[in-house]
Amino acid sequence: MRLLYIACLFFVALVSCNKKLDLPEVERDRKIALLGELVANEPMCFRAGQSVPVSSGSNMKFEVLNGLSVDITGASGASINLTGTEDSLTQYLYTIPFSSSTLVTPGGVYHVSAAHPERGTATTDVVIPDAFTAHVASSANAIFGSDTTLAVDLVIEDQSGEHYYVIEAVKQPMTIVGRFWHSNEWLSITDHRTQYDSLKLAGINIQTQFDTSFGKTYTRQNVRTEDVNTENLKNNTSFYVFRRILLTDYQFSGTAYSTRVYLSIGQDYFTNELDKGRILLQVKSVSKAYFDYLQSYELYSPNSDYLTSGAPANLKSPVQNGMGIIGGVYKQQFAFVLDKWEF
Amino acid sequence: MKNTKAILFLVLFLSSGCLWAQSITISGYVSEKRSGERLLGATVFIPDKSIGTTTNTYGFYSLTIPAGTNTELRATYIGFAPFTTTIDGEKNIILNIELDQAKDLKEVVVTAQKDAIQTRTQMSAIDLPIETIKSLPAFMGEVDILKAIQLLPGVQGGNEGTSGIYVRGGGPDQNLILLDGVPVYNASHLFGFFSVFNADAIRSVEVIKGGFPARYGGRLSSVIDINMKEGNKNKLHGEGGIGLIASRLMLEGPIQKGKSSFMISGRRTYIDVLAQPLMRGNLKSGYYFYDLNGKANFKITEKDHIYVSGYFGNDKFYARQTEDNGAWGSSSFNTGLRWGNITAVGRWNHEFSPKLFGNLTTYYSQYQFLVSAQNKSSFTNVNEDYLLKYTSGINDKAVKYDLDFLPGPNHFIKAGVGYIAHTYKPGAQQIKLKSSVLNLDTTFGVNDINAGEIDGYLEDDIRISSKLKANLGVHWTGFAVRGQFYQAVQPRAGLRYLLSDEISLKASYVQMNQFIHLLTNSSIGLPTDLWVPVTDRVPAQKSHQAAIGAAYTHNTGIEVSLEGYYKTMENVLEYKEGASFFNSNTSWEDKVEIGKGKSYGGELFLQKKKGKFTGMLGYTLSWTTRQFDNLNNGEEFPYRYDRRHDLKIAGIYKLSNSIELSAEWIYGTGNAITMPLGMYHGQDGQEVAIYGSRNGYRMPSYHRGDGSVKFWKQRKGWERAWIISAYNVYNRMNPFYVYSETANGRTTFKQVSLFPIIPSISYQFKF
Repeated sequence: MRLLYIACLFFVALVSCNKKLDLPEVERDRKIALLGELVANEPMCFRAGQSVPVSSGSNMKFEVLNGLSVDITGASGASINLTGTEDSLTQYLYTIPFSSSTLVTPGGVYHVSAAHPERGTATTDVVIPDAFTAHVASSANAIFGSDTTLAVDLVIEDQSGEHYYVIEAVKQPMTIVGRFWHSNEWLSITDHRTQYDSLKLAGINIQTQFDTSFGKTYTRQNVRTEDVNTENLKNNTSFYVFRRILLTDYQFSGTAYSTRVYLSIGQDYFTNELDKGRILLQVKSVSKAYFDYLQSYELYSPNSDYLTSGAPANLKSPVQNGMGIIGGVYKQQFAFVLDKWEF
Repeated sequence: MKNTKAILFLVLFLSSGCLWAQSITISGYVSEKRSGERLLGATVFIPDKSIGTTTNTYGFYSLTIPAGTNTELRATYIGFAPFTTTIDGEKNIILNIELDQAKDLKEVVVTAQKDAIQTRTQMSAIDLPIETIKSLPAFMGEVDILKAIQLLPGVQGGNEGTSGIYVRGGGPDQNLILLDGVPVYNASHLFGFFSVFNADAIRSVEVIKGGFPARYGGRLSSVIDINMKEGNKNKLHGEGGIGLIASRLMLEGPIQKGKSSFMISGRRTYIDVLAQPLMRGNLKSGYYFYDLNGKANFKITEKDHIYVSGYFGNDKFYARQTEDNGAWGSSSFNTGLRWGNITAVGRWNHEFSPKLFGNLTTYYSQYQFLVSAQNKSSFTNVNEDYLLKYTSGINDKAVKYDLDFLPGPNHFIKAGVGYIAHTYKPGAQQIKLKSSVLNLDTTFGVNDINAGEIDGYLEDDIRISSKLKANLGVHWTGFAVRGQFYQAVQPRAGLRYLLSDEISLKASYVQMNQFIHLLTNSSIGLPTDLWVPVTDRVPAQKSHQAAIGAAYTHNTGIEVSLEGYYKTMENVLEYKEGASFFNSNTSWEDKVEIGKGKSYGGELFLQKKKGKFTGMLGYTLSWTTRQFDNLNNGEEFPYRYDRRHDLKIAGIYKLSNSIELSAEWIYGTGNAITMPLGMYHGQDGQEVAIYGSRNGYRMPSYHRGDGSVKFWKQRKGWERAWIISAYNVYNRMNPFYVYSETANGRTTFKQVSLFPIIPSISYQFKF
């Protein structure tokens, strides 16, 4: 269907010419941006930064916002000051993680306040959903379109009342270090691969040890769905790949609901050592505000190129005097190890 | 009881014209002498008695006057020499009048008082003479009726170069564009840069923006009533033209001299043909559009007349590419876009009596859009065949009957009923994939939707006194779709009060309902724009419009009208933020927001129709807004084509018998757009734009000047003309759209201007 636009653009390109447009002064204030999730039963952690104003010809330079003080108040009324420390992502995202070891309580409401001498105070309320359960009924390799995928049948045990679910998948790097006992010492399998292989070939029973460690960076995995109850298929076909699947319980409130999720898995997963890891399929019950935000973020591609002929999507941020969102989440997570390690 | 009395009073009031004890009726047709074509809107009147009427769409008139002595009767029509005769005042008379074109007689035509704008009850309506349209500077030499209509006050033209029509704050779907009484759903070629109406085939154009008479219904904002030529009943005649991008030819002539005639015309662009020699490599692509218009009319008896007419037009874009990699294999890519309209109409006029005229109409209208893409490949004995198809459209089958009843000089009653069977095809997408590992054939989309629309109307143009006239009526529509029935009673009223012979005051109120919606998220009238019916979730559009104004004709023939209007619209649609019709397998109802709109303003229109210099000036001062609960935080925002100031000036000057100059200048406040104000890193680390209020930013203002010069030469039995014209003569870089570009951290906004100065030359001939 993009063909139509190609034809249209072809015509426009034939006759059109460009000219720089000088904009009048627009809102130039930088604003505090709050981003992340408060996940039930996990320590508090989210990121904070600032926006950059857009105006024609401006140097759109993102900068880390130093001097920000972040407090969080729970239902008990006790306020916790979160500690902000730059991490390895700060240089890419220009945001600082703020955290506390305090665990987030399911069903609670937290008031977040981020104050800065120049940017003012941004506030937001974060509703943490109640506990819910979900489980994997089955999983199997499947061809979807022309992609190799893992089809996972999920069952969500929905409670009565309105609930909003987000299903997404991330890949966590996983390193397995193997050792074998030989000549009265533990030797690394990687460093002594030839020796290890020859012992195995000779049929010698080798004593081995494996240490598994997980990386802290997560890579988002595309997901697919055929479920017409998802918000994704209200504006796209099942041939699309999505960053997350969005589902309300309007059709199944208070009952167990089955949905199938397809995780894209490529052939290179099995060959590239550095990309090996485990896939974490996350089923999240989220607050309505977070769901609305993700819906516009996921479905309407707000980061697509700006063009006046389109209908721009404005993200629905619940942050007062700021932007972004801190989502309230209750999460269920399922791990799948699809990559293979040769030992 | 109260209602019974009211109805009795209404019946007596309406029939008061019939109660004259002794009266005679003069009836007949007014036609053009040279071609025999009937003239609609010609005035027939008795100067002594200040009694008059106008011809209907088929040139029929009926005038009932008190019986008495012989009296003078006059008939007038703009551009024609007046006709005067003395009639016998004792008995009914059938009088067919033939008017001769003024230029043939080399006489000055004085615009008669009786057909001047101040005398009509109808307000907010403009007749655009087809000769004026053809004399205006034309984009790339192609005369365009819709672009001429854009020159009128209260009519916004949308984007640069396109033929979109936005009337008094209404959307592009709110215009009832009729070609010989048949609705045309997509009136544009080449993504809106040309309209589907070939001016050579057109006889008359009328635009109504408000004060709609009860006979019109189905759209909120305007009626654009376009009638095709009937064909010359007396001799074969033709005209045509050769332009830079298209050529056209129209032929008309008698089938049976004086009784029946035909008209046929065609137009085709040839950019694709001209570009073929320049194509290199194995890619073959092109674009063209064509139109075919045809009409024939037959006089069956003195009281029966049959008309058949049709239109067939298509746009086609294609691209084909093949690649042969020898032993490795080969691949081919074949894609095409095709969209177009078909209309066919048959009409049967019957004159029941000198006072009662009936017309039966049956028609078919279709709009269809088809896109297809196929990719075939064969590499190392692995074959793959991928096909994508998308179709959408709408078609109507209709029948209606209209009656014109003229019981006396104080009433002109119109009544009618009609039924339309709509079939909506809201879009189906088919994907076929055939390869060694997969065999897929999937079609998804929404099934065809059938709907029935029934309507009826009654209106009366009443002469209450010598100064006061009223047009009162009611239009009723019932719409049945998916087991539901929706209906609306729509009252209409118009008043005219003559302050003097030259000036009158007018007022009108109308309610309009529209049972179909257009889904569009483009601003240029893409062929993918989708017509859909009302549903339980998306109700009918409804508008109320009140207008007041004054009309004046100066003794130099300059017509002036000044009007103010206030219009509200309910249940207008916008796509949800970021949503589009693309790639959907669920209901369109999930993707739209329902809201309301408001428009108000004032319009000034000056028109000079006679003399060496003719022209028009239109100025509009207006405000137009929209409000949706889920857009812009529920706050009211400016409509995309909200233009505070809109000024259009057009002039045609006949320098001599062989040279004609014309020019136009257009100015409009810039379109309202939404601009990003800032960026931040979103959930996945991607940069997210923060937008300001919807349509809160104005693009630079739009202005443009066009000019043309026409050189006529009379030859033996035919004449020809060279037309040299220039679009955008002072090369104004008007914004078409704006986009952002970020390079090395610096963001710049750029406007794309579509058309610089575009000179063109074309050749026209007539015989």
